Amino acid sequence: MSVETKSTAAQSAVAASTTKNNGSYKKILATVSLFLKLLIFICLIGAATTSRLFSVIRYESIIHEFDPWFNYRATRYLVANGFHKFLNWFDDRTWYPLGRVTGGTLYPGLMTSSGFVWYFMNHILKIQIDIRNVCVLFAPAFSGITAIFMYLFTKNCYNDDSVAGFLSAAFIAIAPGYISRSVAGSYDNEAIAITLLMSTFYLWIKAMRTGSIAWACSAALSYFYMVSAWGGYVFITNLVPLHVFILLLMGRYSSKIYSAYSVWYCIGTLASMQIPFVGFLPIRSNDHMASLGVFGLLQFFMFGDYIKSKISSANFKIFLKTSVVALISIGVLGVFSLTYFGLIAPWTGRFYSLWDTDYAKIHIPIIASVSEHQPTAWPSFFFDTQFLIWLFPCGVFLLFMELQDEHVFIIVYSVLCSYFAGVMVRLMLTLTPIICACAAIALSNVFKYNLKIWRSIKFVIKNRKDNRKSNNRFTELCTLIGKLITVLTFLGYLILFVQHCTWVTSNAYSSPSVVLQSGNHNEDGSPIFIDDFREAYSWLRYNTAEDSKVAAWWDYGYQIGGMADRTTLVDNNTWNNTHIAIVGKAMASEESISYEIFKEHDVDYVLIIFGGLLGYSGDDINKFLWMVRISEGIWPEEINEPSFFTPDGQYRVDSAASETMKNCLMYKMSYHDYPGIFGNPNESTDRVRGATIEAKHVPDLKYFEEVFTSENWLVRIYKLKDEDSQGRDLADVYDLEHSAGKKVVMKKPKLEPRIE
Amino acid sequence: MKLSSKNIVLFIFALFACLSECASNKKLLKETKRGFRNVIKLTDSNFKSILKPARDSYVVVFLTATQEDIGCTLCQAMEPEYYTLAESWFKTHPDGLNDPKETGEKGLFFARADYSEAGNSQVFQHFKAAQVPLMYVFGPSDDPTGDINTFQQLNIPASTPAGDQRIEVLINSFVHHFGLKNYAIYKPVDYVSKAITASAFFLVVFLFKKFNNFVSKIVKSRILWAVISTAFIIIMCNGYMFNKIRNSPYAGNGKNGVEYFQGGMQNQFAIETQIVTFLYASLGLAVLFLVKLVPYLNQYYLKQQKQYNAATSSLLLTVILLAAVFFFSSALMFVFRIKYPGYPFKFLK
Repeated sequence: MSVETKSTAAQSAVAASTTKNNGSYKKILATVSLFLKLLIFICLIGAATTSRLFSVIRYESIIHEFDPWFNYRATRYLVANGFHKFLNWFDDRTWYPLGRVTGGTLYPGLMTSSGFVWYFMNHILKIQIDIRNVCVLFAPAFSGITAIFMYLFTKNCYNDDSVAGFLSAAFIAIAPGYISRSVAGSYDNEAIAITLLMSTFYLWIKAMRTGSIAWACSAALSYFYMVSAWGGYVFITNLVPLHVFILLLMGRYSSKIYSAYSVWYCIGTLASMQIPFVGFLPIRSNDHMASLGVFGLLQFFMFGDYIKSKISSANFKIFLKTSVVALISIGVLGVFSLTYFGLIAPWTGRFYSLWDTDYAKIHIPIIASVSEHQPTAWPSFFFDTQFLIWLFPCGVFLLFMELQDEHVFIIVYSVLCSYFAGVMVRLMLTLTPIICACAAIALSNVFKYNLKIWRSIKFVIKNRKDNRKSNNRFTELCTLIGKLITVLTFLGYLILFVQHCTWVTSNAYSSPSVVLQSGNHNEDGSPIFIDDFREAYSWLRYNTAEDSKVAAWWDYGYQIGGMADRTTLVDNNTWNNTHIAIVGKAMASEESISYEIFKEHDVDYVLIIFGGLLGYSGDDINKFLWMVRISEGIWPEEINEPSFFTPDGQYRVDSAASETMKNCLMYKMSYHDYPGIFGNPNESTDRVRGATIEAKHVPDLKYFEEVFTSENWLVRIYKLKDEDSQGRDLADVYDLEHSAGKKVVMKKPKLEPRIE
Repeated sequence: MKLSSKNIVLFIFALFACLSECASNKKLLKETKRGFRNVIKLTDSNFKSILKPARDSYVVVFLTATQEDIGCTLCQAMEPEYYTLAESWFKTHPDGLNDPKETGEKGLFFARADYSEAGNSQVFQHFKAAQVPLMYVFGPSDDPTGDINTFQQLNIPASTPAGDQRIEVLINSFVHHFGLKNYAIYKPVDYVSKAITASAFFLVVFLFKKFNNFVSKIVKSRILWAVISTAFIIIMCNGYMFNKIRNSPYAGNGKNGVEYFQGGMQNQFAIETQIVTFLYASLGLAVLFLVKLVPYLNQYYLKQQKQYNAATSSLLLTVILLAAVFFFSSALMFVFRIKYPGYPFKFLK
């Protein structure tokens, strides 16, 4: 479908260019061109939406991964309780016993949007549709809108070139870099955020070019929507001022820029402060200071401009010099003193880790532990954008040739964002739109020159019998051939790109990660699904008390909350490092200590992920070192990372594992009863780590009992044993019960008199 | 005022004690001044006499091994820190004494033995040092017949971040355990580097002033900025930051000689960045020429009324550039297939 889209884009370009030549057909051609444009848009939206539906077709309409489960749960709450209750929502079912002020700590844009769509469908159009389906299909629908904004953005940024616009829209519709975060079911903030990013940028460019207050207001409103939807809005908050600042440096101050920026900044900032989670950040956090500074600088420029028109140029020079020095010193002093007195919040950790790449590694293990925050290796860039990645720098270079005000924006965006994307994988997402735009600009230049072939074709055909002009005919033929092969080869690359995108989307980005697909097939060729997660979560849902607390590593917090509807200790909203460290410590400690920690936190069940049987490498044993590290950060004297390694520094789970490793709760729970399931009662193989687990190395669990293990052993749930009715230590009780015949001396518990 | 004989005896005794103590402090101070940066250097010949009681001061002994081939990273990290510790102390206490008015002649001295220096192996044998770094403290002692085996080991805060933070921790523990006063971290001002910075700054300003036109031409040069930013983009999009953060090795050591590519999407060698940067740059340049050079060439000949030349040369250039694009993009896909063996698309090979 997209191939067709692009060829129609080329056709429309031809149509547009011929419009000028043939005056009589002007009207008809304009209609045809409009019709074609509409057709292209419909195709684009179709392509964008359908290519994201692989997972729905292959699996079912299901929410993916981790964060979307929270968003889904929040949306359900919104739909059930209304907007006001939603904003004041205090969730006592997560972060037990602290709870979470969810309404004040989330970006409500996504939930309110889908809630609105649901309301519109059900109550106004009277089409009955489940909120889950709205959530699942939300991202594909919005990516269609992204394509339209992408068209407008590129067109406005690049000399009203609609070919570039259409090409960029087609690219963004199917580029894997964007699809990775917006397949059906990936109900995450980013799904809507990229749309809003592009719309804000488009409106900003429009406002900056026209200097119109109306456009600037709409840019501010779009910015507000963006702030309500995604924490990455800071990117806009810094990019737009940077654009203005560089324009000022280039000496391109104009009243248009002044009015656009001032209006955008004032309205946008005031509006963004209405979001509870953002609050007073825009005037206190250093992340936002650049925009304030540029706002002040612009006022100065405006004032200078005014003074310049009133006084002589010699006086103006003196005025300029003194005021520049004064302003800079006041500004620097002001920022320092405000930071010193604590009026301005320090830079946030995630922000630091962008600039000082060692920062996170040293100071914030929890940020370093998230795979999204890892640096990007080069194959990811190619994987996500294929041939666009090498057209991208070419497009940027072409922009430098003309360098109008709006071109500067694209250049700044691409330079800044390519650095960010190199540092953090997840920022690939914000780079993708600009890669599409620049590549489209480069490609549109290729097509623009090489599609001017009507004259040559006519010439070649008409002068067939004219021998005198054979020389001319030959030259025209040469030109024609040259242009045609260029166009055809690039069409070939485009087709390959479409195939690449489809292949990547289908193979890499369409698995819900809640349901896994096994490499094997049934006898009839149908794929085997591994549905252990949902099996375990529904076991929790139907077999445990409604108020029971489940301890698991934070990765699974949202899923437990969303699918099992049980109270969790920690979840993916990693706001409290200490609380996460508590769970980490419990997992890394000896059983008796863990039991104590868990009892203190009223935990009833402990859930772990074990991939040893299946070969699922993302399991808890592989994540275990992060648990150790994070808890070591809080209790360095109790948890010690090197003690989990073998003496020569290896992380092993077989017989060579260190004693601390063998005795920690995570190890015991993972391998409890595992040796013996392959027939040999004494040992079995861990397929993830390729290690042999022997029965004699797996200590018995004395304080916990296994209550559930899923079909493929992926999820294992343990229950904390009740405290002994006679007050004995549970380990002693266990020893007593398992040493029938042998006489065991039991220590009597010390009874202390109750004083009340 | 009456002086009882008892008092006099006591006074004389105290005077003697003071004298002998002063001698021990003076000796330590002398050794300190002889040592490098206020730290006494322990050797086989002097360590017994230095550490022998009686003394009225604390002596901190630091055993380390900074030699490269021993590979003790902590020792190397703590080397400057230990000197800063000593210098900070002697900055505020030139005699090494804490507070003569209140606590008498109690002081603090620093000694150090680096295993790499020849002739101090007995020191390490004496302390039975199986691992380094180690820190011991010899407390004040009145007994002149005592041996040098009464000391305590100090805990080295290995997990504290290196630099000022660790020095701070050590100072705090010293102050706490030895009852010291007026001990704060002191960093000597490096005047040389400041002078160099200042003069370099003025030189740059001067050069700017002098070659005003030239500089402004460079700063305003569009082509320069264009080349710099596109180069920056290309390098950043090739995992340069990945190499930087992960310290990936330059190339691998395979069975059949040098390995240029590491399999897998999540790892890479530094040389891969260079190879792929070259590929991207050639591809980008080819497209750029296709967009700019071909029409330019065409126009150039047309202006000279050489239609034939215009047509053939632009056709030839187009074909060459397209071939280059084709070749390099298939090379790129070939390279990518090494990283991701299941990748189904290819042009050549």
